[in-house]
Amino acid sequence: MATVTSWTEALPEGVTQIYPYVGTEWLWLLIAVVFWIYWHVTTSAGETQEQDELASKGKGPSDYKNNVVDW
Amino acid sequence: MDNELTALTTIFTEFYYWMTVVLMFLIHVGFCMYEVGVSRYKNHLHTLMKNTMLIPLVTITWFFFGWWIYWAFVNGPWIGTSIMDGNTGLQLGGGFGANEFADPLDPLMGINLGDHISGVFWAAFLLFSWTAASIVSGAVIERIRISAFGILAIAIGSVFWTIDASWGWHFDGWMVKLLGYHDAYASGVIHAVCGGFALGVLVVLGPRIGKFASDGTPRNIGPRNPWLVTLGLFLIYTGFWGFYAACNIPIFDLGPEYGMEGVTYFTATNIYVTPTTLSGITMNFLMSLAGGLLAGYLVSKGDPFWTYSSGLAGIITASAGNDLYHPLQAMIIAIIGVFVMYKLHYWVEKRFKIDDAVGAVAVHGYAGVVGLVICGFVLWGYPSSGYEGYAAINPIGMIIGAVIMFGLLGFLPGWIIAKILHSAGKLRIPREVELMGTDYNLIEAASADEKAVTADER
Repeated sequence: MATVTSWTEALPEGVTQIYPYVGTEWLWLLIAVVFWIYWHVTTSAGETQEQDELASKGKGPSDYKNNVVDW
Repeated sequence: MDNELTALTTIFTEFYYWMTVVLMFLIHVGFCMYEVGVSRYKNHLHTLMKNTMLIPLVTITWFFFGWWIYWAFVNGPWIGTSIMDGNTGLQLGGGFGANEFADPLDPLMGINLGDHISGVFWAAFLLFSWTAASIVSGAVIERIRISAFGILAIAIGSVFWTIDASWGWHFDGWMVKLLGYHDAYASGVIHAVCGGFALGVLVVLGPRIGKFASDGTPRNIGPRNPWLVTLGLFLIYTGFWGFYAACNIPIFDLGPEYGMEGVTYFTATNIYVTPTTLSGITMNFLMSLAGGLLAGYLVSKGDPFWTYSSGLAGIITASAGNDLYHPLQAMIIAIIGVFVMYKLHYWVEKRFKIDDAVGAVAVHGYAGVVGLVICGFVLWGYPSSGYEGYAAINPIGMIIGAVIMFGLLGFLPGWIIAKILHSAGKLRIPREVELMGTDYNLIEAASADEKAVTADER
């Protein structure tokens, strides 16, 4: 929902916050915090899985050189 | 803004801080280039992503709680007494629990036509926070898990450096009032604390495989790309200029601010609202850079890595008092700092088997501590503030301040958090992965892509 529908009315009235849905900041904050925590949990689990798989490949310190590309 | 002069001053200040934010972004670009330049080919992208992802993680947590912490803990809590009350007319916050304007739900934390400063000030401090985390990032390359580093980055970038800034880098901070702590361009509040934090993490993390011989002799795993290192450090110097400007308030009338009746005195000030000039600090910045480079070349016998790093260490050493030093003082203080940090780096490496891949503990931590101690002697007797009732700058207060920065808010939290992550098996990558390289899968996939495309091209 638009916070401002007419600049000529809003500016003389001393409007301050001009972003939409003023008063619902707590909801956006809640969504952001939940996503932030989800991100940590998910990426940490993914990293563990990826590194375990990588470790099981049994490659040596110089094996990556066989795959160095030149394009 | 109902008159042209107020509008011009306000918009100038808004634009001034905005410019510093853009300049300071170069610090992060520089750190990324520098770290990749130091790391080995098989770890380049892991190194890059680690330093890149601290940007969003520190940014959102800075919005959630970092900025709030800065304004919440100026008095400890329960250590000092705030000057922000009705008597002084300073009612920005009021101390612990009374800093609504930095609350993420506050009207000032968004586009607000009644405020042109909060957002750019928030952003300038955020860029300091990125730098704080990025300093730690370099020390731990090639063996830390990115998810673990993310947590450590938030801890130093949005919590611990913020607490020390609240205590010692705020006009109302209790360390300034009670100890006479003075740290105009953050020798301690960014560099010493982050160097200490990095050391705490490194003690738990351990060295890279092969860094030390079986008899404990350290081996050099030097920079792999000197050009990236060079460009990275030049960009960090450039961004540091922006940082110096961001630490100032560009235009302020100190007459009414200090309660001097009938006096109008417009000047730039440092973060403690004491006078300085952008012109003078620019001279000091350059002279301390020059002193650092000269000393680094001398002490390292022309080693490029240490010469460039010493330029940075020189600035860091002189930064605490660069709002007041003479340029020659800034230069000589920088030289002292570089000699001490260089010698200390190799002594600690050999004695305690600490593998600091980029010398971050030395360049930021040791140089920062040396800078604080020297500042206490050289600026002994100067007022730490223009407001009444503040302790003067003195050596004891600065030494205590250095211990708080490097030890209490740096080393200790870094060590504790790293210990917790280590206990959970989440701190370090598996030995096999460290040996084969953190980018092995990406390198292998790129090779497969190349073979497939080449086959079609035949």
